[in-house]
Amino acid sequence: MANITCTIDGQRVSVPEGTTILNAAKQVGVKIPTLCYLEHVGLRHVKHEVGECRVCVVEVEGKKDFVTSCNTPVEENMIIHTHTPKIIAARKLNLEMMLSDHHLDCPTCPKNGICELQKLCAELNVRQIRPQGEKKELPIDDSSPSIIRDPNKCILCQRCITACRVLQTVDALELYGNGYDAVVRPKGGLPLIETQCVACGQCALVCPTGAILEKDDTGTVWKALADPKKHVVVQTAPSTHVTIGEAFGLPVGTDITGKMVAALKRLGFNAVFDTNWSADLTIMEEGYELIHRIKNGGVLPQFTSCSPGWIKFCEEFYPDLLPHISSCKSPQQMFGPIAKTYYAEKKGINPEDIFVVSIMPCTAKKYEAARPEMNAAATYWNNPNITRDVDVVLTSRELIRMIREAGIDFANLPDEPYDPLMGEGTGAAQIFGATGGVMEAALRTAYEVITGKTLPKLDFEDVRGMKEIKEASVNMNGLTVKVLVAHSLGAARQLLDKVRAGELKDYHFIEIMACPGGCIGGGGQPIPTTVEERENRIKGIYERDKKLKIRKSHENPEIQAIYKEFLKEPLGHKSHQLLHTHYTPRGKSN
Amino acid sequence: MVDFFLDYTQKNSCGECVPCRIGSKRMQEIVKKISNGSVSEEEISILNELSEVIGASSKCDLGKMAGKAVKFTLQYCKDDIDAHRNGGCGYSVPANPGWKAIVLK
Repeated sequence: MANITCTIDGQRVSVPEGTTILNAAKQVGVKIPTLCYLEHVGLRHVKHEVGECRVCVVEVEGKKDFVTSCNTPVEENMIIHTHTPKIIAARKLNLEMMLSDHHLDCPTCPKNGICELQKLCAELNVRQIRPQGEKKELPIDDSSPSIIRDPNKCILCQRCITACRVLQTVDALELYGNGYDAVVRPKGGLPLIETQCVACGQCALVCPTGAILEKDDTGTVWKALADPKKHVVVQTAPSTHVTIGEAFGLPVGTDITGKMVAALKRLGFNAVFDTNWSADLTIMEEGYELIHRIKNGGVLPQFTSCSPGWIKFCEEFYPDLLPHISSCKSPQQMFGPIAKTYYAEKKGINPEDIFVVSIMPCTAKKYEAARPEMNAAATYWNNPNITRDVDVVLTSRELIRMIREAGIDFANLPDEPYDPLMGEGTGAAQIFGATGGVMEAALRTAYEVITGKTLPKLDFEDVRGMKEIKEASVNMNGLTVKVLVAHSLGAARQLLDKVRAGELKDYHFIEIMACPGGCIGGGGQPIPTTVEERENRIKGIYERDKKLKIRKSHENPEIQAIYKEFLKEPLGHKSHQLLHTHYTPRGKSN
Repeated sequence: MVDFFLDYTQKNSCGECVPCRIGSKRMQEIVKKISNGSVSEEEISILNELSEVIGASSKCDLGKMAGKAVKFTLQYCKDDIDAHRNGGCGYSVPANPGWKAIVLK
């Protein structure tokens, strides 16, 4: 490609054709401020450069009006000025205009401290809001158990629309109306819960202000912790082991498992367990289910079922493919009923008093826990006083807030171990946090169960990394098991269309994660969650897997114990009662 | 007429960019104040700045036109604005001068 030479603030720079002014400026060390622009929305190829906020405007000699640097490519011999008095004044006044319609409740806003609008105002030295006038008073949408929308804080940057429409292909949001009355709203102006929203929370990750965020359930947990009658247990998802530390100044991807356990104990939880344990349990059930389907001519390829955003996506858009999804519950929902049956029995605690809290990277987990069918423990004991299997789901961000509220010096905490019975997790479970992880964990177990041999090499590197769709095949006693992995729902849609057309009949197992990068890029994770952060967290996940002594689910002694003492066998009667579920066709055509 | 044009801008603005979406609304609020004689010197100065920035940085020609229309009004119709501020409207043309009658002649 031909190179183009231009001048930016007096410096000559040569860049490939098509480079934007913003990127060309970066090369000569000039940082042009941006607000609505987002280089990668979840995945590298999903760009958001609509030029809506007009903060990145620059002056180009020979052009009467300003141009936006985020979406204007440089031209040969362009002479660009990025910070003339006129430009600086325009940027500031644009921000003032935005603020003149913003609810300035910054100290009580959940985005306080991580708000991009706030940060930019500080950076650009905005000290007053001169234009004053009408302010919008729009109702807050709290219809979803996962996500809250406060349209009064929306600056209409439309990043959420790009995340929803282009990255996830869910298309639940739209820009509606004209002029000052324009709003970003759920399609058709419906409450969010009534749309096809899958609650993945990718919109919350990219929202620069407090307009879209997770529903805060910390108050309910504080109340439960203070109730002496309640026995509050907590489980921590694999991906949280390498993400919580970011918020406390530790490098992205640092393994903070021991510190997180210590923090949870200090917060007052009666028992601290690991979702890694139930991830191992999931592998046992899901792996055996796959073997069962292959041997008995069941519906193939089998889809994984751990990502609730993906489950809702399939229910909404591909209800005809529901029989492909494994009937296994996700690790979170396997943990809940086991805590209220097996653990209650072993410890002699009344299951009515057990209160189960999850620490998840995910906003859709809140929705999953609220699904009416997720009350297996109450059915098992035939006791309507037992609340649903998982009582409260906290996202990583909410736990971070609770740790801060309690004044715990997280970065300097000593490492503490999980409690026994449901606290041991293997490396296989740990990698559930990254895209391809569930698949790799399943292969580690399936190989040994089918062949009866020890796996020569544990790492299935083909299924790792940020490539959207990954493929691997493994020979197991003459049977070549072919698998596919997709992350982000846009990539999932590509695979599902092929499954629907019957093109993937010779594949056995497909892992789908709703969020780019897998759970480490979940909608409830610390903000910012950029592509770089996702990559570093993935690195952290595999490092921790390597460190762990046991790296295969079926070798987990606590898993072996629960099968011996309680469940008896994978896919057995009790397993079906407590660990398996069914799906509901939804969507416009159902 | 400017008020009318800003109304048109608001109704037809796609709402995507800040200067057009919010800026034209803020300009209109000040223009209305000019009409009813309650505008302050400071507001006129903000209007000046707004028109300049909106005229140069809107995404499309609709927002740019809104800014420029106000800018030219401030430049060329100062007497009219002053008259409004002083409580009268001595120089303005009546809203409906009876074009129909003139054309038909």
